[in-house]
Amino acid sequence: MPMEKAVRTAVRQALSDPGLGGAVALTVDEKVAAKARAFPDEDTRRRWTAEARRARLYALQHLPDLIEQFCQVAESHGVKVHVAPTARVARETILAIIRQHGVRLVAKAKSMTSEEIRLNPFLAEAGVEVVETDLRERIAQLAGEPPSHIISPVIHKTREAIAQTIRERTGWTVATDTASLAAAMRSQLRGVFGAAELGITGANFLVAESGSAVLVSNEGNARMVSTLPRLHVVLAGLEKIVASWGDLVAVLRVLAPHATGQILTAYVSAVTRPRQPDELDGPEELHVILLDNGRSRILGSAYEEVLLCIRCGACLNVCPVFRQVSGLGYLSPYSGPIGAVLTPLLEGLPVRGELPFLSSLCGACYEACPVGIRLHEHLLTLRRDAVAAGFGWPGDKRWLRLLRRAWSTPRRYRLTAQALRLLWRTRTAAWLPPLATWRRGRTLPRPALRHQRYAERTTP
Amino acid sequence: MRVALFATCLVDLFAPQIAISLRQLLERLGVTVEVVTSAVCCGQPAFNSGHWPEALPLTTATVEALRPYEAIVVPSASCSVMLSHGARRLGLAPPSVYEATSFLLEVLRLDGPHGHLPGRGLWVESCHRLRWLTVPPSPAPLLRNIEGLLWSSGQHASLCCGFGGTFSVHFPELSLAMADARLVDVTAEQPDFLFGTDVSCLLQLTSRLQHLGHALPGYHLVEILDKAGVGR
Repeated sequence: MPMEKAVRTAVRQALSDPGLGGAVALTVDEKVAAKARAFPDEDTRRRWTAEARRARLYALQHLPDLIEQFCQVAESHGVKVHVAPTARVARETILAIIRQHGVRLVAKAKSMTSEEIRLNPFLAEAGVEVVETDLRERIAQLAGEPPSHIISPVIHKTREAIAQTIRERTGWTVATDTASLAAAMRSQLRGVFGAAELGITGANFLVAESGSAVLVSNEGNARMVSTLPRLHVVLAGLEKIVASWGDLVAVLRVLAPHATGQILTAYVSAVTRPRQPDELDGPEELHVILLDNGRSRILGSAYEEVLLCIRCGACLNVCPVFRQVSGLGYLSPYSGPIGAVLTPLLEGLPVRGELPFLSSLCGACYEACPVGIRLHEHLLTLRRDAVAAGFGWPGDKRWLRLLRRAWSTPRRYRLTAQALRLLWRTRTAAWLPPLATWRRGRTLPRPALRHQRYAERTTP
Repeated sequence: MRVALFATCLVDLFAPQIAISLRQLLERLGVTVEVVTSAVCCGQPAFNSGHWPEALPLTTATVEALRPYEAIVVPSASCSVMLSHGARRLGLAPPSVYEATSFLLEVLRLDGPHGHLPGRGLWVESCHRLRWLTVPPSPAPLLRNIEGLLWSSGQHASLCCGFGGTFSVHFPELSLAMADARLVDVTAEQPDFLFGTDVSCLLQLTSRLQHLGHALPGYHLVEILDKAGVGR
């Protein structure tokens, strides 16, 4: 089966956007610098990340029990909990709730899980109007582009490009400074919060002991979406569970520093039950959809550790590949190193077999990860699995087999090296498969004239 | 002390002067060096591309050729990682390999050796050295007393140069864009040369620089120490 070439094309396209690289570099460098300032000192950072990893490991090791506990406690509060084995079931569950209540307008807070299940296009198809209420996510929605970063959806756009999108899609005249752009979007969104009949949010974490969905945000839109509409649907991957409020603190303490360089986000909201008779606000009905969509398959596999991810985006911010192409190069809601590992695991190698190869294996991701996921290792292992499943990089096998044969003994190696020098002199070497690619944009180095000269005795 | 020197295929093919420098340097520091000519390639290109069955015979042959030696010095962090970590992942017992800088710092305990080499160098950190070797030592103690040498890591020292082995063939335009991002430091620092621990990273950057019409030499750290006359 031939490998899809979609990612290669997307990478080229992203590279050809003249504003993209600079826009991404500006934001990620800011995030990395802010992250360093967000911890009192290096020792504290190390201690806190170790505690976060422990809390996440505990959750994974007790996942079935914690899910059961979460469901039980939440249901005892009047929350309707649905377990969705696949993206399709999750989408249909949400549509069923929408149809049952005759909902026409849905307000959404940013949720990567909803991107994972391709919820927006699905609801649009069904004739439901969905408005994203995170400022930057709304800009991406207006532009008709997928979010290009887990935390910063329009990281690939300059302020000028954002202003242009707003002008084109709304007809408003806006200045290009951040405050004007935010004010323009904000005035447009206020009405949506009041008019929407249903709010959809993700959940940063689910606390098993109290059956709560925890949302972190800086704009407060998640709070609006979860309190004003009559109905609230929480969509969360089932691995988002932590056991206790103590463990929640352990993960929250590292999330904001790694995500935005803040000590804590402006809002941390816990949604525990629908509106009670004596309460003034909150939804009448609260649904929580626990999404599996391949996660159980990852649990217990060699890649289990990937489920520790808290979606902070720290690995994206330090990734030299992401810096050049943004999330648009990955053709996946989860981008950067975590996306290159997670997406093929969730969606299957036949669909995104190229992704594990979209990395120079520099390991900056592992170094940045607050829960210590060995992303560089997993990329390597996933490449092995991709090759074994028939989704290796096209053409690789031929010349790597050639190399294996040619260099199997020192004698053969010496002959190959001689041949290479000869080919070089006649300029034929430049046509050999890897070298032909390499010389585009580079001046190839000349091979050495004599083999293993350093092995000869220099001093008596 | 006796050590074995495994030059690696890239050094042998494209930069044998690194192996010469390493050998001269070690010998001046009182180490008896035996060059291993029976080892060829660590198998990393195939291993990193997911073709483990193609890598295994090459890695096995090299590991077996190196096994008899008590200590093997390798002028490449990348190949050192392959021969330790990579070998383990392929189910082989790794030989006793030392990346050259680690060997100088941790085994020979070289600290502030004196030498003389005028010039400005840009240190090109190798990702394999920095992130795949456990706790890599800073090269600073080796360079502290080299008279006339000015060096810096630049603003983007943590950014990969974009080589990544077969990665640079899979995503050629991206690999070049990454090189250019790293080379911003060359514009800022105006060095006379680049230096590091991996000929692969150095070739990626110098061959790009030459193409852009701004040719600069790239040296291995051991060449710098050798040229500076360390141990003389």
